Amino acid sequence: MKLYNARYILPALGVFLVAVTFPVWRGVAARDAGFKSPPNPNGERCIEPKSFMRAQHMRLLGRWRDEVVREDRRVYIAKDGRAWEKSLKTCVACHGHTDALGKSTTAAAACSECHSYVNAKLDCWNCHHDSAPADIKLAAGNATANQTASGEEPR
Amino acid sequence: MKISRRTALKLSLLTGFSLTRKHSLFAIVASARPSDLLPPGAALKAGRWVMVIDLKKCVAAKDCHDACVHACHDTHNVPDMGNKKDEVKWIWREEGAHLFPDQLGEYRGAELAHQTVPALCNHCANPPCTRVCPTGATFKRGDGIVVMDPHRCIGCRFCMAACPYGSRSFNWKDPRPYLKKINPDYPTRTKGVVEKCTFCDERLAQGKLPACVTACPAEAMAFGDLKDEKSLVVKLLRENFSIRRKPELGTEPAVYYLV
Repeated sequence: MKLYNARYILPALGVFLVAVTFPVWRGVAARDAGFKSPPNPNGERCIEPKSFMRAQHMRLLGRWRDEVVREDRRVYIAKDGRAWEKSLKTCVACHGHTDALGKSTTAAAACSECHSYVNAKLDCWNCHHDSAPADIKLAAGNATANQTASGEEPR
Repeated sequence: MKISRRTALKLSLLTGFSLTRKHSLFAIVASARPSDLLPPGAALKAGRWVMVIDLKKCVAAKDCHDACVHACHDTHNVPDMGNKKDEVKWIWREEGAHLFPDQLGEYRGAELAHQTVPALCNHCANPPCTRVCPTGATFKRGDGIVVMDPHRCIGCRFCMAACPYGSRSFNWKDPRPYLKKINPDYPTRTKGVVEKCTFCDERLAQGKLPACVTACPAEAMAFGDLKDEKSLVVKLLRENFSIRRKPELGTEPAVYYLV
């Protein structure tokens, strides 16, 4: 059997195969990049062991939310006996200013490293502050609100 | 020993459960339990929180510049939307005629009709808002505070329709661009949820009185436990004539006004 125009067909076939399987390769390449541990620049252990936090942080935060808002129970005692305020402020205190490389970041950015990979949409930061108190900035567009209100003295 | 099919299934379920225990929800329950045993600490507790506003002192303090309103709104990141339709308010000043229809006399007390006095959520003993909320996002705590859980609010605004006092506000827009400054200790809200005064439940947990009460330069606002016979609020209510907003509705407000 003779393959006519092999010098055109074979390279084109190669290009075609690479293009068709591209999503698979991209997924393999992204797997390593996706699951970085969130930065913990204070060098402190997270409130519970890493494996527990990785698997259960969303349920832990959900319980905290209900206990604080609905039951007025605001202190969490970890398994190792340390006490923590049940608040995203506790998370942000470590995860909300600098990342492992010392680069300035927010908790929203730190969280999204994994969450964007698994396509989990967070709305925590719509209301809660995603940076340590000193780093909180007003949302864009506030400059105009400031100007119009600059005449009156807020107390 | 013969093991029945039923026993074998039970045993295998138990085995599976014990293997997954480390990361199961039960582990969280176990780890969270000590917080129940924690001493209450500095938190302020009450059988029924009420507020008593002395209108004579309030009206006399002409140069307070609405200290209660600003203190509350600054503490809780309440935005200034700049127009009446989008307005978000937890505590505000309103003319007496609007707050107390049918309660002000034609002669005595008539002057109150044109004076502005503070109005806020009444934290009713019988709150209509919590009854109509389809998700349980708003509910009454054991100590009488009607709180909002914005996580569960779906923005249906039934509670706003039910509240006879206009104490609830809806976030038609993202409030963050309308904040002049941000209190980092308190969250903002988001577009599509209802918000209102919470009697500063987060401050009570830290042992502090509500922001408006501490901010009032005339000390016209008192806050305390109605169930405590020795509390200041009970004393004030015993010694003075008080009115509440729209008592005929049977909501039993927890905000009393001394006239």
